[in-house]
Amino acid sequence: MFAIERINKIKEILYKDKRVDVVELSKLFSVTEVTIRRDLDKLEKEGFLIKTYGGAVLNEENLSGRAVLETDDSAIEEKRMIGKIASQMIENGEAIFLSPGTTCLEIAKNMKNKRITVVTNDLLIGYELRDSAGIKVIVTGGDLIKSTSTLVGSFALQALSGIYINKAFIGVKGVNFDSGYTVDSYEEALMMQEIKKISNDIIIVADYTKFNRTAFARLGELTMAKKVITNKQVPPEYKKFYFENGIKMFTAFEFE
Amino acid sequence: MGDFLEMRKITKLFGDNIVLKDVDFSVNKGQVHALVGENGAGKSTLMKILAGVHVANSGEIYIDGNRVEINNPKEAQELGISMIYQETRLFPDLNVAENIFIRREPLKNKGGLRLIDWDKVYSETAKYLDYFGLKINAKASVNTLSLGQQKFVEIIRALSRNARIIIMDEPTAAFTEQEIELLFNVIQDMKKLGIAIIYISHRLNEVKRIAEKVTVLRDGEVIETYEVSDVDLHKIIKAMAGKEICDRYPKLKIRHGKELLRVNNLSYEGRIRNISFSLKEGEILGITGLSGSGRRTLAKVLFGINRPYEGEIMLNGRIFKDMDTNKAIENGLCYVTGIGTDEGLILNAPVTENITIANLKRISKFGFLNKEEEVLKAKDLIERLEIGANAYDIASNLSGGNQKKVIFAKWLFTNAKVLIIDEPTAGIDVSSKVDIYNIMNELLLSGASIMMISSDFSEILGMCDRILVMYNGEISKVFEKGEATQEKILYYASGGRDSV
Repeated sequence: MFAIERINKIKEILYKDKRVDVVELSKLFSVTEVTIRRDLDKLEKEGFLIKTYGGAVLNEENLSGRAVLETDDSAIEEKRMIGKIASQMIENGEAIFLSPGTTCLEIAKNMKNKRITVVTNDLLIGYELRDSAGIKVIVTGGDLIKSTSTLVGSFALQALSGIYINKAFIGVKGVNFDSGYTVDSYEEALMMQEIKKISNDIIIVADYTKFNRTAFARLGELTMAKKVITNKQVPPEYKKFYFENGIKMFTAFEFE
Repeated sequence: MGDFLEMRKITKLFGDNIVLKDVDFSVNKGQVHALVGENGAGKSTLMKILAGVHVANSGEIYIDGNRVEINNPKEAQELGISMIYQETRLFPDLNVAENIFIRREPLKNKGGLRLIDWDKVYSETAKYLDYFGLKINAKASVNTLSLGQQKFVEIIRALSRNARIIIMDEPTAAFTEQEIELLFNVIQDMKKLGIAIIYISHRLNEVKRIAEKVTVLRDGEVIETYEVSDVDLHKIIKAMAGKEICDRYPKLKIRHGKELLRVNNLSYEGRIRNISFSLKEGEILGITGLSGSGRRTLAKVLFGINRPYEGEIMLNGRIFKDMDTNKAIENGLCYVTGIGTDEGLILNAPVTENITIANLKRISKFGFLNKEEEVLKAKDLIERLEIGANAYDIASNLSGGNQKKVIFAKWLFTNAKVLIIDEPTAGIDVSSKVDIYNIMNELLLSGASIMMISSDFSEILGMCDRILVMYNGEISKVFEKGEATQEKILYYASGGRDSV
């Protein structure tokens, strides 16, 4: 089992049981207790849990409204790693666009100490950045898609007129050789078409589970963006395709 | 046409890879035809086909107007074709004359017995040495000769076998200035004897001096054949470099920290001279050059394999005048070798052992190896680096990409801070390539620094913060990021200078 899968499992157990035990986990995953303690350290740093003697408990204080709203909390570790790489690309003074979704939310979490302008059509991303002194946050407004934090429609589109973006990070729901990049709704796709027009640099962010999948509405060909941030588990044929088509593909390899 | 030797429409595949495509090449008696191109352009493969080492998939070879079949080195030799390789192929413990006449010594009859005519062996050898004005003793053991002198012994051996076509692959790579002059004299003499010479070299100045014609190969195809008298250096370099490859390397911008390595006036046995540079945390320093430029020697001196050296290596805040491999590893320097080299992997051992070998202390207690711990640590790295193998797989069964990752894993296990990476992506599949570039990013993010030795110029341009170009054992140019192009690198790597 991969370290990330293990961490995701530990999170699941924590959600369900509210507590975990080092010895039990070490048996469950057949890894050393040292390895488990390292995983727990990592999760504690993220504010996910509080360590106790021989184990840890869920940090319930830190669970924001997100858990209620968001349905897509798969591959959260991979998204965190994508967020880390993305933040390396952002320079002070730039105007950044973050599209809706948990992947871009992770980017927001990783860039709080920068001095930039962030435009987004995701309520949660705007909220996440509420305390970042150096970041000017612009939330587009617009129609809220039910049970999500995504804003779309003509009000949202209007907010984009007359502004220019240095780097637009666009999260997608499907990456596929045939269907290209796809998202959940037609309205979202319309928003992204507009973003493409006003942005200097389009960067696609998608964790590995999005590959070989197709969602409802098409954004464009796989060659529409010159940079992609994803995970090492992506199928090799995609890595090859990107390299041979002059697209930079970034993935994270976590070392201690 | 009607040249003495003609190769027509030669095509060669290695697996699915086309390494030569419809190549035409010819040379006449008493002429030198130079063959140039970047590393991997197909020069050596083309010549190995002529020498019978490889057999072409299609194409024809004509000598003196007659179609010939060359299926093995012996047939090539019988046709009068002789190849002198980059690495010397002599018997080091035999003397000069014995090497020249080995397995075909002249015989004499003595009382019905056929004996080797040693007098003749030595007199013939001396005759050749005299003819070329070489001050070499026919009875000297080969291992007492310089690399240059050994090359001359090989040339004489070829001539004594009645070679009519001689192929020289980078003959001057290990030569001193005087030896180069001597070789050019020998080549002039061979021209007079009517020998057809094919000269592979990266040193374009040499090509201009001795060749009549030069053919540029790129990606397995002939780009152009020029008369040397009416072409200049820049034109040849332009043909070699081709179009710039678009930027596809995942280079992350990472802030540089403190200096981790500094090298002052490093020299080693004349193979590298007066090398100075420094390397910072978070930085990738590219070291490039054509083969024989001294890149790998530099790496081996830094890692304590080639010693003793002159100059200083500053690592981990200490000055080393006598680096050895143990000190290098203890102070956080490692050498991620190319795949297929002796130092890289223990090919018949499992992945686990290959990973933990460089730091057994980490998995030992009171001098005993903790096997369970070893496997767990190795599995962890296999997973982190996305190595497509199991802990117990034998290294030699892995793909090139996975072998390279195992070499990386080995050094990650020692927590190295300065990584010398030799040809990071040569001979591996594209998808592993992308992984390796991203692994390099991650190493830099964790506070390491990288010295990347590569002959792939686009990779050097795409990934490095600074580029050192080497030529003939010296740094011939330093480029900051953004200054270099393939053409500029080739210029300095082929012996071009700033003043020109």
